[in-house]
Amino acid sequence: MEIMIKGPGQVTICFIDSSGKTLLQERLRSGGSPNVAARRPVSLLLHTRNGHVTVAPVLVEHGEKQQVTFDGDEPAAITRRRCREIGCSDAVAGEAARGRAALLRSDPARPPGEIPDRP
Amino acid sequence: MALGSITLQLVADQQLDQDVSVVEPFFAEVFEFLSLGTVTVREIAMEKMGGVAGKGGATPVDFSTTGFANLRLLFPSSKEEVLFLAPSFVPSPPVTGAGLAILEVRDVGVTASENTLQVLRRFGVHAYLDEA
Repeated sequence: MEIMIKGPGQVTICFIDSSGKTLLQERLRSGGSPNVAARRPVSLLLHTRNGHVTVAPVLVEHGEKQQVTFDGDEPAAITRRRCREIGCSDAVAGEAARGRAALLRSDPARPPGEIPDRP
Repeated sequence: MALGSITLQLVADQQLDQDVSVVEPFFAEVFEFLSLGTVTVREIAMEKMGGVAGKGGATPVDFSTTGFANLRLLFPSSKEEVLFLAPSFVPSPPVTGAGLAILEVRDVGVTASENTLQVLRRFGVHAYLDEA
């Protein structure tokens, strides 16, 4: 999957398995002019000690002036679709589509819970 | 469309759960379109913090601790490109006619068959350009 980010700011994305557990977490902060853009290709297949695990991307946080797309589409739609494909429950898929996923570790510069709920 | 001083900057934090046994190679890029003017690259730098730790792992052989960054200038009129490697803290030769500046960052992947990996790696990369 290709993550495209237009505009400067910070984006946090969690990659969850079918139970909603976060296996990979990435925080990307791009800087520069308002025209700066960032691209991050990432695999949705992770290898664990128990075998291959397919994951769904969850956009947990992004800057107010940033536009984020997953494979060119709106992130929540991709999250919902991917959650269905990997067998998430409706509850897990609903939370993920709203941008809610458990962070692996908090940022020491930002206390837990500081990431606001997105509208 | 840029003319004047340009900053390209990217910081990436990556964390993996300990169940994950293969750490994929990392690649990300940040870019901005230019105005086909004359570009001088003033500085390119990269920092890396943290990395991949393996519980009970063997001593790594030739394992990079620094990551890798480069800046590419692409031209609309040809398939040629100009490549600058980080780190560099002196102005580059001027380059004319570039339409896109791409700052790329890479790091290696790790596969562990039996080990428990702890992954917490952070990359910071920036480039300063002047376009006239």
